[in-house]
Amino acid sequence: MFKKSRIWNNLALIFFLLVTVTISSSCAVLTENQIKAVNQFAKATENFGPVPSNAIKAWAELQIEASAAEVASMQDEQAMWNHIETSFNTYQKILDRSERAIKSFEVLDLYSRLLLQLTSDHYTDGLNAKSKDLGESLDSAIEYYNSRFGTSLSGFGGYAAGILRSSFGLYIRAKQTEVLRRVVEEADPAIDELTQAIIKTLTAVELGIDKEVDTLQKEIKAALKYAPTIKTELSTRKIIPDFASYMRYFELLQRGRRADQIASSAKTAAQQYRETHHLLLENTRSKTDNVEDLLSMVMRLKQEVDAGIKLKKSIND
Amino acid sequence: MSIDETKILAIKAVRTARNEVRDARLNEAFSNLTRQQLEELYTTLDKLEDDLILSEVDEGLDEIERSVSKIEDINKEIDKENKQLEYIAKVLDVAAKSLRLLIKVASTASSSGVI
Repeated sequence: MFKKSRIWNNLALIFFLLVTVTISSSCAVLTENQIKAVNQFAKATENFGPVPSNAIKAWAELQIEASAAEVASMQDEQAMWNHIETSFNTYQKILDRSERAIKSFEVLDLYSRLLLQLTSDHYTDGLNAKSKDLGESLDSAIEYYNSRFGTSLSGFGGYAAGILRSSFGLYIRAKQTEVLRRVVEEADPAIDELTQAIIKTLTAVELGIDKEVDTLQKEIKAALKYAPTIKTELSTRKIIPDFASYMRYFELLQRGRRADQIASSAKTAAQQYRETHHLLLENTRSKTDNVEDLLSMVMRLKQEVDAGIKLKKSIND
Repeated sequence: MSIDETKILAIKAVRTARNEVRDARLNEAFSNLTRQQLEELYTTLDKLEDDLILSEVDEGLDEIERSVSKIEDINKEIDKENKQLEYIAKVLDVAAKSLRLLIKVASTASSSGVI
């Protein structure tokens, strides 16, 4: 009787395992190619954040330098003081105005890192804990964003905590892809808002840099016009930039133009980010395994992000 | 014309006025008092351009309104007999009108819930 019961129990266990494996296989909501495409997207965007931040910082600094050049050609002390004060206020306004974009980048960065974890080939306990932490950080960042800017974006990091450890690799993979599909689905509305905030800020950066480059060009021209009278002008306390100042202005102009290119490239990348994510979402909803269009779009996005990184290096050199 | 296009036009008009005032403030043919006033006007226009670039279209309309009134007041005091100052008065007028249009478009969009 005892032996019979044991055999029966083993048979029941085998049956249960077969059913579980079958159900798990049918739950694999994404194909390996689709997972690969999400992984490529995450890799393409993981270094996106610091690039536009660099352009914002360059604009703020350029604005101060251009104001210094303007003040150097002013005569009235009160006007000089007012101009410097206005310039420092503007510097702060630039930083305040850029905060929304910076916070958007933070969320997107966490999102890329979470996608990398969720598309990992070897999902382990360690990765599970990391996904959970990243998911929590992501939701905290979104919560802060909502409270700071009055938006009502839904958090989607919590889904990453839904992968339960099990001795069945196939089951984990199925659960992992299910969570991945859900995260991509829920992230899409937030991606719209975040990339839009970045694009708006970068449009302001482009306009701002254009203004300061124009200012510096005008100041250089004006200074050159008055250059022959340096000695006599000094006696009347009029400050005329010397040769070193000209060189400094030209250097600033170069930096300004490169920062403008960074802003323009990052803006294109942000637009592509949004469009690629929409396609990614459509793809994860689809049951077809065709990811060619998506992969070529991801490739273009990667090229744009890489171009921005290259420009960023040139501004730092 | 969209709000963004109206804003770009306003920025361009302010930039033109700012550049004209910049050149005029360095002109030694003007009296010290006039140059001093031009330097103050230059800072006002510089700040206005920055504010336009930095603000969202539906934000800071009161601030822009104050700046326009200031520009219009200054314009009334400009000596129109002087040819160079007369040109500045003209570009200031264009800037003020562009800003008034921006305020109107943004207010209409805001009240109709577009922005």
